[in-house]
Amino acid sequence: MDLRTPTDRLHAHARMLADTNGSLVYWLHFAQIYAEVPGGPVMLLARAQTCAVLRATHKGNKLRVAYREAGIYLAPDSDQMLTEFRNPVTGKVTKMDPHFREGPAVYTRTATPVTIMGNSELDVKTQRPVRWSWHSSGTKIWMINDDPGTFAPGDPKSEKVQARDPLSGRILQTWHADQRDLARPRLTSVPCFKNYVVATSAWMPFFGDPGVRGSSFIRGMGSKLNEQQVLQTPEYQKLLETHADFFAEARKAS
Amino acid sequence: MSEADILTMPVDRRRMTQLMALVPGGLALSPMLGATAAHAALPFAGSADELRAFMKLQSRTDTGYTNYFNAGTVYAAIGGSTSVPMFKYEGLLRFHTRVLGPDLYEVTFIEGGTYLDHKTGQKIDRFLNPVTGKTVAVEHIVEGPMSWRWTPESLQVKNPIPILSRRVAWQHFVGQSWLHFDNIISAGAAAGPMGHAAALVTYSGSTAQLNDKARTRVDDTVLMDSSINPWSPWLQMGDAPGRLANNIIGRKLGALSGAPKRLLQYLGGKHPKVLGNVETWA
Repeated sequence: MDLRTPTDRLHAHARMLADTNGSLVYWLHFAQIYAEVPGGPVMLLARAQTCAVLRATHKGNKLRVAYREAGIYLAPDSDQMLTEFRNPVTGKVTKMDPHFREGPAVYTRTATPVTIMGNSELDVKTQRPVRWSWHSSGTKIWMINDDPGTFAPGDPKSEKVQARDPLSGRILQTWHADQRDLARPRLTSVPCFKNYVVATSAWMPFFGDPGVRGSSFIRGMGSKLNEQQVLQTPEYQKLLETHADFFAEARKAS
Repeated sequence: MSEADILTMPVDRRRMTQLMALVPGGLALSPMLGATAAHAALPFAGSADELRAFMKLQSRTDTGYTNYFNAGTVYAAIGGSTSVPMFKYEGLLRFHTRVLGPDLYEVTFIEGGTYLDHKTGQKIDRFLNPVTGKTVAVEHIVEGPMSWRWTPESLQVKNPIPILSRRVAWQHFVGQSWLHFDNIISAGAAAGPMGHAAALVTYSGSTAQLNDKARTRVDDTVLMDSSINPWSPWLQMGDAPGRLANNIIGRKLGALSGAPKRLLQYLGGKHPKVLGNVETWA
């Protein structure tokens, strides 16, 4: 493996993100959702816990990733599910479903040029360039993915996608792994965790319309686990049970 | 291989194999690969334990210095639109810890660094602002010194001005411990119409080192900085709505010499106090 070559970089990414032997992997995510409006402080609106399952296929210049994700919104300062939301700008209280699902979806990455195409749920079929950078220090290795997102202000098609998916803004993800693990070629799933920021281009749906211009962003951490490790984690075991049908489909799908 | 081989070094298998032989413990499994359980036991059971865990992960529990090399990209986050990469950053963040008593620490920080061209990675002194279209003179960073006294209680203080709110939250997964240390800050009216900032920093390190009572610090801490800040005055943004948003990673260094030579040379020439002892920082 030589990370100076694009295909090896894609293969290394595949081992960090998934399992190149085709097994399902689980990513547990913890996220905080913030918003800010002009003149006001940054507000922590909610937290989220999600479980994503994904299966990747890597061949040469292409990495195909099938994934789905389910989660719950939690209150900012407690582990209570968020069943109603008080908008801090308008004061309006709305009932909300704390459960959410995303996918099933498929996206494809290419190494030359570095692009991503997806996600199929939103029918975004355009291939867009992303910026990857690899860094190392000591035993650590990081891969940063800077995805400008699909949102193009003023473009009607893009505005339509944005209305359906506020997460169409810029996505910054950093995957963290250990060079000692990446140097073991037989290790098809390299232990990995990530931190990410999604700069959303619209208010999150549960925020409603506060009637003012502002922005929201999601900041989170994720850790890659196998199924056995997930089952040792009570809150995520519960999440898997709640969305049992959804995740069962992922186990069946290739 | 030295610590100076950082962040910009090309990585190939030969280097990784060398690393396995040269890094102490390099032939051992990585902490994440060696972890068998998803959940580790919490490394603390009360607020004094939490303070010690915070100190060990972020800096240290004995008197001395902690140095981070930080690098990443700064974006312009423009609400309702999209975010734009502005420039890269690399800097040296230093903490000096003084133990004043049982569960009482004084931590002083200073940071110095430079902005780099987003594409070439070279230091910039003039910057074509993509938001305003104007070229401006760059003011590189030197911040601090600033000191805090940490006690189990002060770690949990929610709103000493200018901290509007603080959130300290821990997670422990697969051999790694993560500490979210978020401070929402009032930057005052001078900062413009969106006069607030949020220092959103996550520290991550080995749970085994955090649990090791013989250790005074976690050696392999990584800092992830997703802070948002008002426009820097030198950017001359006027009334443009929006923020600067960081995507910065830092690694706790074994010694000051672990930072890249070009950064040490810059700081040695421009801001030598950053490289000196805490007495010289003021």
